[in-house]
Amino acid sequence: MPTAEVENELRRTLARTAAGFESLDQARQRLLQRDYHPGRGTRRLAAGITAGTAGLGLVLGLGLSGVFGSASRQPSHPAHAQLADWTVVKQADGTVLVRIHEFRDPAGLQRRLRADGVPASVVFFPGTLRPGEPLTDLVHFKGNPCQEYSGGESQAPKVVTGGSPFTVGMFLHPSAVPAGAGVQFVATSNVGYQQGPQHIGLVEWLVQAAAQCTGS
Amino acid sequence: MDWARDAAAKRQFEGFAAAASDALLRTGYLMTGDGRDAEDLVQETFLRVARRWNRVRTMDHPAAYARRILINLVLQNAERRSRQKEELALPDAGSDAADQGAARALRHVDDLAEFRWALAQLTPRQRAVLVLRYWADLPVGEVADILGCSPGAVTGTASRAAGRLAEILTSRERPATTPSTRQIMDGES
Repeated sequence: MPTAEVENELRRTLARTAAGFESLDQARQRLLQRDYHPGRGTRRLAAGITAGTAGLGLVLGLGLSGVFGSASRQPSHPAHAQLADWTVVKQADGTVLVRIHEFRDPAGLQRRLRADGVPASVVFFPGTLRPGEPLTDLVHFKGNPCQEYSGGESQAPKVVTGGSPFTVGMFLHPSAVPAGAGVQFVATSNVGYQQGPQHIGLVEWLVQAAAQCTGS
Repeated sequence: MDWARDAAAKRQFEGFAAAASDALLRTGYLMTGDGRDAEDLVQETFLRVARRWNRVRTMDHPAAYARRILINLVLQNAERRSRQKEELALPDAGSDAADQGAARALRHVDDLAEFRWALAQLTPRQRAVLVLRYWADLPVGEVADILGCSPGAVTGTASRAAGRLAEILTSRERPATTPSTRQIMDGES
């Protein structure tokens, strides 16, 4: 058995080396786009990735990150949609993985994220996004209980990483949320005027932590 | 399992893959020293897990099962290539002096690429012992179970691997170019 000192050095050096896997995010995204259906071999899944990338481009200018994904059905009205089947997985390092299969029950998702240590607000955009209106306008709806967190533009990319929650999953990093801040997700289902009839738009931004917004 | 008829199982597998991919990729990276080889390994691992998903989905720790598959893929590939006997059954040859040298050499690792290369010079079983014991932080007994050996063999191998790492890092015998490990998945079905 190596001495405790050697063991500690091994742990430290292996952890540094594993953390130095620079292309890990890209490798993970490629892996999760493949189809592992038994008997088919692997092939790339086509759903939503292109739209997701476009969504990121749309909103980065304001320091927000946003994604699109394919919804399995179009709700009759965004504010009363009966959607979602999502998975939230808290990992050993505290990171929270979110995948959304259908966007339903935002209150349930909000409760789950808060339980997993993410000061979060999850809401549907109560209005209708008009053609030409930027996706970032989603967060400025009347009655939004959350207010922008000052300085959140530079912090947001550290809080939410990974790809689209509708396809490969996004990672939330509670430890990266600045003190006094939280993260709000605003979704709308009517971005289809640009992308086709079956798309959901989702924007996240850093907001000031408050009881009426992030619960504390 | 027909995923076309069992959408829930497919989604469950996708959730598992998303949650497990990070740790599996890092494990593969440490075992092979190369990001693309790690990706190939994880892809093969996911394929094998998917084929048995009906059974795996009921396990308490599907990710641990996947990690075992990944480690065994590396070991089986190495055995096919070399057919060399590993040294797991040998007695522990460690000494205080060797341990002090190992700690010193590891403490002074600045170039992680050099450390990856040094790691790649160990036998696959030695690498597996170090990665599972000191990166994945598994108990000795669990490492022994994965590798199919005794707990004593695991601790002995860990000592020898640490000593060998120190020798390599101290001698700076790294060649000008890192040897390729890209063919690691050759022959896998």
